[in-house]
Order: sequence, then C-alpha cells, then structure tokens
Amino acid sequence: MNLVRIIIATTQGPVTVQRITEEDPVVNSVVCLSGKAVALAISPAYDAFVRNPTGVIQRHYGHPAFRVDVSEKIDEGYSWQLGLFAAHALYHSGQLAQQDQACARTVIATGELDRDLNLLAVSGNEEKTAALRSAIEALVEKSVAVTLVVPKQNAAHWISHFSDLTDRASPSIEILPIETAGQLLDHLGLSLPGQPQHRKPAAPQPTARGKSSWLAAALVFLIGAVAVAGGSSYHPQLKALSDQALGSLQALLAPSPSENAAGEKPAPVAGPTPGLADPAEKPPRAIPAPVEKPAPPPQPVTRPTPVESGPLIAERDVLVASRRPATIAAPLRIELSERRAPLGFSCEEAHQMAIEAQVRPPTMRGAIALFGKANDKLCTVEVLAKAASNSDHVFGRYQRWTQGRPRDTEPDKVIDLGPRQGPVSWSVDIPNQLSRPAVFQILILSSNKAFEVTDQMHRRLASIRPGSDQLIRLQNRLRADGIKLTTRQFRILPERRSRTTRPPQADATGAGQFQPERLTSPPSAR
Amino acid sequence: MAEQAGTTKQHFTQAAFDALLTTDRLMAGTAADTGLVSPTEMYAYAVDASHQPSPGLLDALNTQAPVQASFRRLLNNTARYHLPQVAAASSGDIEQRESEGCKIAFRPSRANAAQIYVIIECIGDTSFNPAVLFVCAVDGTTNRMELPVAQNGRIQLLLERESDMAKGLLDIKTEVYLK
Amino acid sequence: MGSPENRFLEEGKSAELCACLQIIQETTADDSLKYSDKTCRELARLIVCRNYAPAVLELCHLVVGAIYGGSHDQRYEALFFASGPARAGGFRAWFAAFTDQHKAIDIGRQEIFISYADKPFAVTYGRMPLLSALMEFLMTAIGYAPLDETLSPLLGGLPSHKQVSDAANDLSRQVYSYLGEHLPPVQEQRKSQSFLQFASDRAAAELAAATINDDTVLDYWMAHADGDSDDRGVDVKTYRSVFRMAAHLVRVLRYAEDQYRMNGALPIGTDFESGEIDPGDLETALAEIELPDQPLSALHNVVSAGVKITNKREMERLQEALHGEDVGRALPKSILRNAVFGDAQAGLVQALRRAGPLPMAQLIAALPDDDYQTRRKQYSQMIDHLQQMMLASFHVLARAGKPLAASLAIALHPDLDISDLAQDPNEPDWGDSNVVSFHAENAMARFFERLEADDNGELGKLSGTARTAFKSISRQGFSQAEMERADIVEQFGKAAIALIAVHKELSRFLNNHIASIDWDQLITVDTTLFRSQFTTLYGGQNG
Repeated sequence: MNLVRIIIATTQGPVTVQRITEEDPVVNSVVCLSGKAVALAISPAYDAFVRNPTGVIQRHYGHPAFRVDVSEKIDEGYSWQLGLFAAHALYHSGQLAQQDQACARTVIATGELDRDLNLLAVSGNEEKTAALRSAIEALVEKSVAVTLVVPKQNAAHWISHFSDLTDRASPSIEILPIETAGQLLDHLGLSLPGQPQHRKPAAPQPTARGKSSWLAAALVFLIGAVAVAGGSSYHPQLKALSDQALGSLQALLAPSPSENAAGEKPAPVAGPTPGLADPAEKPPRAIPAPVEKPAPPPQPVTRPTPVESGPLIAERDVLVASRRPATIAAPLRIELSERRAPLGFSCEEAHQMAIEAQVRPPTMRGAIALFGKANDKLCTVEVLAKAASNSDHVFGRYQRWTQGRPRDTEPDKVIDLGPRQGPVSWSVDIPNQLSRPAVFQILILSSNKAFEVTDQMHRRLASIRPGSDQLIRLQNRLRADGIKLTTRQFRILPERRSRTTRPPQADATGAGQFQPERLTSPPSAR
Repeated sequence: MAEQAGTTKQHFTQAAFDALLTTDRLMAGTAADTGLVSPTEMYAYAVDASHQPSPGLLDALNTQAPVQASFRRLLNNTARYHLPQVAAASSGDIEQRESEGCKIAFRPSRANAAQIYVIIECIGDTSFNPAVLFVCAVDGTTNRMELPVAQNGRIQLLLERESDMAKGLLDIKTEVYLK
Repeated sequence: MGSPENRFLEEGKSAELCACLQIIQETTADDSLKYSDKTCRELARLIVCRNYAPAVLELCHLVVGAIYGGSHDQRYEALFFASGPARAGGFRAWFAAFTDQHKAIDIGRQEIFISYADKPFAVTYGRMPLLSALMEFLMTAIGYAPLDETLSPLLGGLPSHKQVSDAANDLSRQVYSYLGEHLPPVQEQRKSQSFLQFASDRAAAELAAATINDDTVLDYWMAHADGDSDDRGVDVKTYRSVFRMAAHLVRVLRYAEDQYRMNGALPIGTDFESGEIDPGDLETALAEIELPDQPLSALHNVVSAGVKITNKREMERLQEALHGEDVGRALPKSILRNAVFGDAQAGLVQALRRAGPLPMAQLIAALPDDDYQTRRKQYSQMIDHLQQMMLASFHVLARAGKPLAASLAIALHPDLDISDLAQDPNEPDWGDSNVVSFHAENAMARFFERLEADDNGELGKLSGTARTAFKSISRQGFSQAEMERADIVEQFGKAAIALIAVHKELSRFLNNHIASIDWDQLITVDTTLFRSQFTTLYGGQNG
C-alpha cells in the first residue's frame, strides 16, 4: 500500500502528523504532542472539527473521538484543518504513514475548511513558506515526492516562493492549489465517504510545475475567489458556540437551495447527514440532578435602629455625648465624625490655611466613642442625620449652649434644617480656647410622610432641654402623628475639666476581655 | 499622694518602655524556618487558579499538619464542589467519582495505555466553570491543577497514569475539590 | 545566662510570634505590600499590650458584615483575603460593590452599620485594615480551623449581637491562651530594667526626659556592650540598639510628663500598688508615643503607592535623622553617632557573619566610612530635596485645585502674605454650620482666586518655580500623564502633609539641635573611642 505522510505547514515550521487513534467516544478529540499526555491548545477546536454536529470528520468517517499526535506544537489558528482532514481520509483508507513508517510521498497542506469542505484562504503564508523551505529541500534530497496543497487564494505566493524548486523540473515536488478538500482527495485517489461526491466540475489538475503553469494557476485562483465569495463558509467564530446554538445558527446561515444551484456548490449540511449511521454518538451523560450548596435561610428582616452616638472624651478639649439607648426601632441614623488637624498642624492652620483635615469617625472603645488626643487636634465635629430611605422627610434642629446651663438659659445658637427629603448635617468647629463647657443638642423629626413644622411645634421643640421630661411627652405626641423624634446631646469641655474613663476591666481570664454591652453612659464631666 | 503619683509614673514608664522594646522585637522577627504561611497566600492558592505559590507554601502544605488541616478546611469552605472519598470498590480502577451536580469520569487512552482521560462535568451550576482542581490525600498532602477552559460544559484532562495527579484522582481515599 | 523568661523569649515559641508578625508585614496583594507599616505596628501594639479583645469583638462584627453585606455566594474570607491591599478606601469600595446586602446591613460613607435584633454595631472603614491584619494574625497564630469553628455560629443566619460577643469572647480566650505560650506576661517583660536603672542612677533627681542625654547613651553602651547580653534579653552590644532604647525612653518619659502637666495624673493604672497597667490605656499611650514616626511612615506609603518622593537612600537618611522633636532635642549627638558609628558597627557585624577569620584590626582602623560633617551635609541636601518635592507636589495639587496647595505655599514661603485668606474676624468663635469645612471652603476659594489672578506676584512666581521643579524630576509618579490620575493626586496630597511635617522637623533638627556642636572635634574623639570599643567587642587581632 502506498503510504502518504501528512505535514501541516504552520508559521512556526512543518508539523508532521505522527499518528491518529480512535478514542473512547465519550472523550473529546485531542491533538497531542509526540505521544505525550500534553493536549495542545487547539484541541477544543479540533474536537469541534471532528464531532457532529459542528465537525466534518465524524460526519464522513463515523467515529466521534480521535487523538492525533503531531511532532510539534500548534498553538492557534485553523489552517491545520486541511492537513488533518487529509490525514483522517488517509487513516480511514489505511494509507496514512504513522510514526516512523517509511513512505515515498508527503503531502504538505495548509488551509481552513468550512463545513462544506470548501477551502478558505489562510494568513501567514510568508512565514509558512520560509519555515518550510529547508524541510522541503531535505525531502526532495531524499527523493520523496512532495505535494504542497494550498488554498487557491494563496497559491500565487506559494508558487512564487518555491519557483526555484519547481523550476528544477524535479518531478518530486508539485504545488496543488485547490478550492475544496474533495479536490485533494481526488488527487490522493480517495473518495469521500458518507455522502455523494460533490466535486467542482471544471477543476483541472492544476499542478504548478514551472513558470508556464503560473498564469493558469492565477486564473483559477481568481475564479475560485469569486466562487468562495458567493458561498457559505465555516466561520471560526461559530466554533465557540454551544452545539445547540451552533446548529440553529448554521441552519439560519445555510444558503438556500436556489443559491446552491446558482453557485454550483454542494448542499450544505446543517446537522448529521440523514441516513448516515452515527453509532458513536456520545452516550448520554447521566449526572444527578443539580443541587446547589445550601443557601442561607431567609434572614429575618430587622429594622435598623438608630446609631448610638457615644460619650466623647478628649484631653485638650473634651467632647462628651451621652449614648442613649434606642427607645424604639426607627429608621434613622445619626452619625458623628471628627475632623482633626494633620500631625504638625494646629486647628487654626487647618481652618485658615485650608489644610485638609483628617476626617474619621470617633474611635470606638465599645460603646464609648473617644474624641481627642493632645497630639492630634480635634478641630471640628460633624453631625449627619440620615433616614433609612431618601424619600423619608427629615427636619433637624441644632442647638448650642455656651453661655449658661441649658436648664436655665436659651440656646445661643439654633440652626434648623428642613423638613426635606434626604439627610441633614451640621459642622461644628471647636474654638481653641474654652473657658466653660458647651452643650449641644440635635433634634431630628422624621417621617415617611411629608410634614410641616408648625409654630406650635417650634415652640414645643424650643422648650425641650437635654434630659428633660418634656422630651418624652413630645415624642409620644408626635408618634401619634407618624413622626419620630430623635435627640442626641454632646458636650465639649475645656481642657482642665477633662477626665478619663475607666475602660472595661479584664475578665476572669485576665485577657482584658472587652464587653461593651456592660458599659453604661459615663459620668458627666466634673 | 505625690509618692503614689511617682509610683504610677514609674510603673507606666517601665511598662510602656518594655512594650515598645517588645514591639520592636516582634516587628524585627523573621518568618524563616517556622513553617508558618501567609493566610492571604493560602487563600489565593485555594481560590485563584493563576496564583503562583511560593516554595514556602508548597513546602508547608506538604509537611506541616496544621497548615494542611487549615488548607483542607479552607477548601471545604471555598470550593464549589467537593467530591468525597469513593465507596470501596471490589477491585480495579474507579471509573468515576461524583457528588451532587458534578461528576469526574476516567477513560483510558486507546492511543497510549499509560495515559488516562479525566472528564469533569459540573451541571449543578451551568454558569460555573471550574478553574482549579485539588486532590487531597489522607496523609494531608494536596495536589493542585489549573484546569483548562470548559468545552460545552466539560473539562477534559489527559494525564499520565503514573502522575501524582492521576494516581490521586484514581485513589478512592482521596477527596477532590473544584473551585 | 538569661533569666527564665528571657530564655523563653529568646529561644522559645516567641520566635513563632515574631514570625506571625513578619508574615503579615511581608504579605502582598496586587503586587504591593498588603498592610502598611502603621497597620503592622498597630497590630503589634495590640498584641504586646494584650489589648486585643476590643479589636477581636470588632473583627467578629466585621465578619458578620462581610457575610451579610457582601455577595451571597461569598464567605467572609473574601473580604479579608481577596479585597486587595488593606486600605480603608479598598474596604469601602468592596462593600459598595454589592447591592443585595441583607437588610440589616447598611453601607455608610464611613462605616458599615449592622442592625442586630438586640443591639446595633458599626465598624468603620478606617478600622478595617487593622482588623484585617488581626484576622491574618488569628489565622496564622491559632489556625484557620479553630478560628472558623469559632466563627461558625455567625454564618447560619444573621446572629444576634450577643452571639457575636460570645464568639468574640471565645476567640479572645484562644488568643489569650496563645499569647500565654508565646508572649511572657507584661510583668515579666522587664527587659528594660538595666537601662532604666542606669538612667535613674545618672539622674540627679527624678528620672525625666531631660535627664537622659547623649552621655547616658554612650556611657551605658561603653559599660554594658561587652557583656553577653543584658539580663533582660535586650541587645546592648550594638550602639544602635542602645540608642533606640534611649530614644524610646525619652519619648515615654516625655509623654508621662505631658500627661501630668495636662491632667495632674496619668490616665493609667488600675492598681497603683501592684503597678497593674490597663491594656487599653497602655496601647493608647503607645500609639501617641509613636505618633512622631507617622510622617515618615506616610511618606513610605506614598512611595509604595507609586509616587517616588524618596528613593531608598534618601529614606534611610531621613530615618536616621528624624526621631521626633523630643529625641532630636535630647540626643542630637547620639543621632549622628548612630548614623555614623551605628552603620560602621552594622558593617562589621555583617562582615563577621559572612566570612571566616578577618583582619579585624585593619577593618576597625578603617572605620568609620563617613564623618559627622558629611552626614550633616547630606541632611542639608535632604532639605533641598524635600523642598523640591514640596514644589512638585504644589504643582500637582494646585493644578488639581486641592486645598493642600495652600498649605504647601505657606510651608515653602512662610513670608507669603496671604493673611486675607485667614478667618473672617467677624465670624463667631464657634464655627457651627450646616456646611462642611466652613472656614476651609472660604479660604480655599480666596486662595485659588489669588493664584489665578497673581501671575507676576509671589504666588505666580511660586507656580512657575513649582512647574519647573515638577518637570525636572524624572521619577515614578512625576510624569504629566500620571499627574492627571486621581489616585496619584491623592498620593501627592498625602505626601504634602508628610513633607511639610518632615521638612519642619528636619529644619529644626539642623538649625536648632545640632548647629552649635563642634562636630570636627567630636569625630576625632569619637573615632578613637568607638574603635577602641569595637576592638574590645570584636577583637583587634588579625585573623
């Protein structure tokens, strides 16, 4: 039997098809490197090229899974398709020269096939021809008959590049520009199993031997190009789609019968060839029903409770806020944050020289928020009151007492904001020198309905003092109207009045256990 | 009163001074030869297929039982699929391992009997493409393999039968994790 | 021979504790160090002071936040180990990326807020880097399996505040047990007594920051370096470690004195008689004592983040010169001795480690490589370098309209007359307002108005010089393209604050603390003295 070796022309050099083996139908076809357990990167594309419904090998040769061993790596592209198709055809007929089997004929091929076995033009011809030259010369030297099979669209380059070899009138090298894989099979004396012959009718044996053939070949190339442009093609992009999606798409893309007739193209096949036995279809893959990892059970919906602003203690200037326990769940948060002068700067510099202050929330030690360290100056306290929903209506009042005790005097500063939808905020710059304590009160009215702050309500709010009983009475009254009243107080003390708090005691283990829930509001400033 | 204040200051000075020196010493230590590994790196190794492990991590995973136990638990918590030990078969190789939604099948290569195909299919979550596979042996050691991209929902590996990975996968006592 | 606790610390399992912290310091994320120096130091303080329990509680709440505030298909580990470098902004972005949080989790601008059924809790983003480092420590120290087991009650559904506290207590007990094995109790960590005693004996009256001076450091080293080691496990063989010890003591004493001056008492100690120190207070005090290191640490972080304000050598020069105002004032000669002879000794030690017998007498006779005047010159050059960097930073920040440009302008030109930008004298002392940064906003608006209108004035000239300075620097972060990036501008902002502070401290050190010393005479005396001591320590015979 006349064995034929197949070499694939790649941009990296010639790649010999060493062996084809039918594998278990359940596996995907692979291309491996020299018998090693190394599946090359083109293996998925090769599997798609083999297996129904996307591929052509199973359609024509029956088996759905093969392993091909090749001599060198092929990393990308599709121009290996013509060579591997020819290898399968030869393998099917028992004519493929495998491993080190001696043979007198070598076919070097490059070309991408569509599903109808039409050959598409390839790129990288410069590199391929350059990389092949020494290999071809070596084969010719050994008197091996070499056929270079290339797409007609690329033929001009190949003929030109190897003209010196073909001009030697050596009978052992020829260039075969073709339009379909069938033409290559004809050349090899093979037939295409699995479906009727569909050869191009007027295809001559366009071997290029010497310059005299070049013009004829170029002419055929032009005709071929026009023919291909009118037909359907096997777009590589489709290879990435799922089998099912691909089937549908190909059905849509397939030219109509009338187009086929006009173009004299073979009828495209959008699935397994009807009537063609397909004994090696993948067996059904029985896998237990999918069960996700158990999802966490539905969480109870907890309405947010107001943030507890804490007692704030500084050493230079001491800011103390009482952390009141949440009375009822309410969708409102009051955040306190501090602005400090960066290290090396005073608050005056931060204010006057426009230095960007460092903004951070108060340091929390459990339930107690600590504001202030002598070396790290507290310049500003910011207050933000924010409803859970931006559509909620909020009214906020900021009151400050610096001249007298809140119980005895009116606040010397009041800033009202709202009612409005969205948050309300204030910023309090702390003066450098304090001679007496200052007391602050934040009053927030919030509701999911629009409301007005009437004169009467203003009067009532003005009468509320930190720690007074009026607060609870007003809260109850407003609650009946669907309005929540939340208050916060904090205090800023002069440096000399500062005090420290005892942090939580170590637990029985002596590990300095921290249990903020045990904490209560610290004693007021002395 | 003054005496008490002095005592407090002395105690504070001593404690703060000691603490600063101890902090210096702790900060200037060395991690060499302790067998400890970085949790961040261990996590990356467990979940990030492209992570290149340090020799120290691999060594610890091979030799340090506490690190192995931690890593196993991390895999349990982070892996998408866990395929437990296979029920004892009478003899011969196992053909597949499976758990809910995921199956790993083994097929010998007809081309080379010394090689084996490993086919991984996860249909529990079609959006999930396993990127890395771990085989954990009873001795605590772990083998890891970055997986190729799935083809139509299946990942196929071709392994030498005598490779650690193939032997581990075919060993009924190992556990397999897919992430 | 060391005491039992010393052996424990030297040879025992404390090496593992050191390794735990070293691993955290070396951990990388996205090709940069995951934790800043500051965070690592904070963690070390928590451990040394045994004040970990509050942080462990916060960490447990953060775990809850990570589980119920993140993606449904992720566990808490993802927040700690797959969120990149541990920075507040990174954590904020991590939480902000999810939209389907549990209803009990509120993602705020500064914190995540967890509304438990029994009591709410908030964890700030600023705190998260430390908590993340703590998580890393717990995983390394007590192991992932026990840690995860302890946290498992938090995973099955939103826990109660109490459940979180219980888990935290459980974890704290495990840390307590671990540290019991790996860190001697505070009372036994009396490593410093020898130096403390020496300093006390030298002080005429009560030991105070002012009683520690250059002679204290040198004399102690001369007297103690040739012993095996200090009884308490402190390396006193190198001048550098003795200097560092003295610098610590100066800072500690200064802090204690400040506290007395301000409050009439130290906010420390629950039992005066026994000397028990509250862990929280001790940690807070240490944080404040170490504050002067922050500007250099900040500069270091800026460099790591891709703006090369200093190269390695420049940073080394700054680190050897700057130890805080108190140390600079108290130990000026020691700082230069540490720079010159500390380096020399380190070189000797390294040479001894590397090779076998060495011609020690020759080596020692060739020391030091540098002298004090050279170092002074280098520090002066650093002033020039810092000014160039401040100018370049001004250029970037002014172009970006950042308020810090004004700070740099004042720092670069203290005589610059921008008094009209100051606070309006009619404004009340209490700048309470519903507008954030009330004064800053006004002042800034006025500053940039001036900058634009003042082409030929002082500010205009400053702009031109700054532009030239920026363009003359060819370092990472200083290209035109890079200065357009918001993250780079942010780094310049951080650099500006640090540069101003570092420049101020270095200028003060050069002009006030070391200007009047006769360095030429001192190097002559010191060279003889140090060579003699090195000979005693390392042998003078050729090997």
